[in-house]
Amino acid sequence: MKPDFRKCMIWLHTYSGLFLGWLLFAIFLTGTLSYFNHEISQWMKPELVQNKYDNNLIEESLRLLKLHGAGEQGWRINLPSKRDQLWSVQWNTGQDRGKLVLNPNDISELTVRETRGGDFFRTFHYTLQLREYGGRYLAGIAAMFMLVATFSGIFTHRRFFKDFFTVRKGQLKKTLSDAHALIGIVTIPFCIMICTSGILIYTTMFIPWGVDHFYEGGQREHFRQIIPSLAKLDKNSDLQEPLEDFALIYQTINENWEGDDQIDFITYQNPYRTNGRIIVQRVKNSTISSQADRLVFSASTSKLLEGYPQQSNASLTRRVFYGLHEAHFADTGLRLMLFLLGALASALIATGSIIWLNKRLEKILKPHVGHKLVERLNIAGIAGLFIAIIAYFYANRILPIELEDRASIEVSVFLWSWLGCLIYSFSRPALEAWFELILLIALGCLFLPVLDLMINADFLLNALENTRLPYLSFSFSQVVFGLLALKVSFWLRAKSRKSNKVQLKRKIRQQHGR
Amino acid sequence: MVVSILLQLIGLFCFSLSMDKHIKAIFGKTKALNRFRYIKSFAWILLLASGGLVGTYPYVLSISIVVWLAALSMNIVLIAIFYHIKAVKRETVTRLSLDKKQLT
Repeated sequence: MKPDFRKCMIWLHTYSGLFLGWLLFAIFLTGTLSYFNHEISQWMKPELVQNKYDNNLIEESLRLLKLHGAGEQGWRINLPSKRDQLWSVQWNTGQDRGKLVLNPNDISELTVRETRGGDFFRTFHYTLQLREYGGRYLAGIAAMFMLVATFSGIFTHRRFFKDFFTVRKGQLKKTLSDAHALIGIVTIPFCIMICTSGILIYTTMFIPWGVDHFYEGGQREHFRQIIPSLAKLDKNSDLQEPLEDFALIYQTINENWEGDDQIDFITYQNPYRTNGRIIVQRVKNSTISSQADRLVFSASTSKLLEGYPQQSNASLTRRVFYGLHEAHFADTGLRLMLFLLGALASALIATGSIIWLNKRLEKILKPHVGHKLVERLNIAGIAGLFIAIIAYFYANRILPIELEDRASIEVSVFLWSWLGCLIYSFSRPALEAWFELILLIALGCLFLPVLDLMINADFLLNALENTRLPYLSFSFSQVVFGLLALKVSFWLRAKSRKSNKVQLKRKIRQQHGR
Repeated sequence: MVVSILLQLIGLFCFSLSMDKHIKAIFGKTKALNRFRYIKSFAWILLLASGGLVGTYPYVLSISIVVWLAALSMNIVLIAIFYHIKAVKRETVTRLSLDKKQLT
């Protein structure tokens, strides 16, 4: 008999989603958070002060680099932006590096706690903290499964357009399946874009055979050839004092780039040689590509040099997909929309996993071990991940600042909390475990700003005084999310009580029947 | 940009009104169904007009397209929430009137 196409698609949709659902949820949720990685980092580095781009910062940076990085082969000035208020200077000779984070108020060194901040979520969502153990391959496979689930999902939902915009109220199962279908429709373009671009970023890693065949040095050589780069500098050219007057450079920048605050960072190569050059990188909000415009200047004459060779089409395509995935070009409004779409895509995966279980549980009298396992993994994979994230934020505030390897300990707290939730989910009845963990999420979120005030009130008060929007908006979002989780937990408690009553009635009936 | 996104929202709303189910959700009856048959074409015109205005966004074209698509998704969610609220209200009204009938 010829197999029914739709049934095949339903099977594919169900099991491609179920098989890697929890992993996909973790990837999507942490990836969604990394849309605001700078803002999260701002909150996790409360010692940072309000900072705005200013040409004076460049001059002060050059002065400090001359002081601390004298004789070094490379300098770098990271300038603050609206999202990232970090102003720092770096210097290096080969592998030896030095860095200073600076306070703009008195141009002194700022001691910032050691943390991976929001960048942890960004790294985690594609390495799964297993970079050396194939984490990127796992994330890539998960992205491929997500694409399969997305396309098969289109064929699975027969009343796709008829039920468009419909979310029925009443039974949880109906609401969940309507929400799943609706979110599925809304996020189709987003999911396709994010999964395709995610795969394309690492395409040579997933399919390395072509590159290995044509390039002797493998991927390294391949990238060296396709990524435009500048000619190597002679490290033994004549000595010269570093350039101090950037007036001509500013003028050229203003002529080439429209708008204010266009400089992201400045790299100064060979500052003490006559062949030294200054590379100015533009902020990324003017292009969809992950590679922003760059201008290259001669350090001895301040004149604009030829610069980087033009990118090949292949390299440009990869850069565009990279840019689409990371969305560095997005302003706050678009970033918020992309964040919401990411959150919806995470909800899509979560509702899918819950629907799978509910549908099977209503058909059988006694759930077997597979159902129980999925049930517990749903709890740990969904609610547990939120708790791990909140625990990571708590660790950031509670761990002593002078603690050695502090950033790694914060990450360990994240991973151990997640494991703790998995163990806890196996030790409690399902509905109760859901309720308790979501209540914990709510309380954790609501208490976080309070803890912030208790540990050092100056952080929040300074942020209020200086209207440090990234810091304040992140604190505010904790409260909003906490209230939302509180509502969900109360709703679950009511549901849990109702279900207990039904079970009790059923037991009494069975006893009377006997 | 605001005009384009508003056109998109109205276009999507008109598009939803071309579906029987949603007319019933708003008007509670099917009598008006025929009046809304032609609204689908109007919805497409509005969506096309909104798309045509992408060039007026204060970004480069590539970023404007991303903004338009993201706004489209968000507007769908907004309309779904609207219908959901509408359905909840209707359900509450029906339940209240049933309770009244039972009381009398």
